[in-house]
Amino acid sequence: MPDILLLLAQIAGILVAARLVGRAVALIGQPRVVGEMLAGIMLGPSLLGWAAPGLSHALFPPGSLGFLSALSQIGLVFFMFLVGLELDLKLLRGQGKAAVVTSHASIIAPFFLGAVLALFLYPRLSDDGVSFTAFALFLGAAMSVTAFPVLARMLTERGMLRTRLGSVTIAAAAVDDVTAWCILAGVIVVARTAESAIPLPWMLGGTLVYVVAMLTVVRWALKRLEHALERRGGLSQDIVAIVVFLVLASAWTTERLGVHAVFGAFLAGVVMPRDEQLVRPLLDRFHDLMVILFLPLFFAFTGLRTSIALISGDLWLYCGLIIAVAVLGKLGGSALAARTTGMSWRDSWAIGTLMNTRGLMELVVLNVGLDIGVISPALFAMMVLMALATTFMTSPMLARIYPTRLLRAARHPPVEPEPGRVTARP
Amino acid sequence: MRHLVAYLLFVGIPLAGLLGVLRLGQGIRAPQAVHGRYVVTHLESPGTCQAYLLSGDSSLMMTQSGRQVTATLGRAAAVTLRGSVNGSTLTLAGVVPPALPRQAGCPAGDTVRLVGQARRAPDHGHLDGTLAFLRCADCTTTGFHAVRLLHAPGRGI
Repeated sequence: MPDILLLLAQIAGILVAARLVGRAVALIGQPRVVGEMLAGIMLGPSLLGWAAPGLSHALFPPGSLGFLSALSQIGLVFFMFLVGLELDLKLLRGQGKAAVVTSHASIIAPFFLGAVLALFLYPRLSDDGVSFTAFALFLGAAMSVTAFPVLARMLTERGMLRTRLGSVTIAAAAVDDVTAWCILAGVIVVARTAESAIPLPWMLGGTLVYVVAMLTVVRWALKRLEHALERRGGLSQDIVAIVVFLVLASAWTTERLGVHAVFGAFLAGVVMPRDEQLVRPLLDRFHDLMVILFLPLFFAFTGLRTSIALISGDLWLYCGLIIAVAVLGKLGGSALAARTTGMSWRDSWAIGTLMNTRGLMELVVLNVGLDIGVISPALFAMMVLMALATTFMTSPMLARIYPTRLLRAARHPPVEPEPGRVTARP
Repeated sequence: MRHLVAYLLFVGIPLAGLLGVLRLGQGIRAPQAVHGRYVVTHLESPGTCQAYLLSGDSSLMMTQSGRQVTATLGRAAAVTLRGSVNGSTLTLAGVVPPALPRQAGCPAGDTVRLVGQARRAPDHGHLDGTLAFLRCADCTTTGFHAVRLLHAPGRGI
């Protein structure tokens, strides 16, 4: 049985820390999510455990973390559902080849560089319980993640969503999201094959059948929800209950198949009907609870697993190398690809900078990696720092590449005369 | 045409390179895996403190990052040891904290040292080792045998 007093104190402490640090970083122009991620790390062994071990042990005794973990994992499942729900592949339409090339390059370039880095890191930070293939593929996938929700929020806040730059970026990030999760599912299958009780053909076959069933049968069945919505004139508690059941059942199925619960939740979001009467109210109902309660719990749980003390001596050099490779692959790869497709250097660097935002999606991936044992605790800590660094650098870099005056011009581009047409001078 | 060139340059070439890297990496060896939860199945001439630290289901837990190994001993991870694995030899050391119960009989502030040999087995891993204190003259060196549980519980979903 959980110690309810302790659990309540833990949750309260986490919420206060997340709000305070989130507010503090907002003062220096950073998105709140950066502060919340930072607050999670501060509550873990890296700061609280180091500065006040007594308090840390009293608030987060090792035996109590199971309940906190369960709560944060449930939150993560619903967060991934919302990510899937918000995903709109129609965004890609009309963005043409620039978005396709940029999105694919922004995945494969960091993926490749991550795999090259694995040649160096595998003998230093892994063990022979993990195959090189699984390690390299995971590192590649972790390098190629883009934080679609954070990126979308940044574009909206800066009023860039309706610009060409914003449209190409958001479309490329949407493709990135789907591709990265598919790759990660594959990596998990490779990594878990050796130790899983489920044979590989069952794992692969079962997952494939499940995905097809979700995209066809379940999607068709969910269309009926739209009729129910029309009949009831909005989102009722019964419909919300059906959606919650679907998310839990889907997460359970993929976890049972040996992939991971987050994929089932994500898939449940993807197959939901895109009816505005359903999507918007669902997002509204889940959003506050997710942002105020569950995500800070997830960040704190991640922070409690992150021990920066594990990084010492040469490992700091490895950490720097990981950050450099992550930035080079994602920012450099996306920017060069965008430039080659004909975008200006300024727009290309802006796209690269935005795509380099990893945010909490990276933390989701890293927690999956630690859960399945494909990355070690020290590498986990380094990658968490990489996620923080790449998210932290986005806002200042973007402000430098795209100052406000240029942003205004991009939002209201001057009307160019059509060829052969003479415009009257004022 | 421009898009095709860009696609080949930024997608095709790295993809081919990735396959090469995966092939190249097959020849690289990583340190032996020793991480996980161990259950001590045999203790040889145990002192009071060693018996306290090595008894119980969750007596020995190891995490590993490459050669770097961290181990916790005893209930509620009473003592933390740090060290490395070289080949199959494990060498770890840590300081006994003052907060242990008096009946444990542990010399607070002394350095505890664990030396062991890890062996692989198809079903489990095995660890044969000794646990000794550096300064405590009255304390004996205790030999132990532990079995590694490959699937550590409580790692999240």
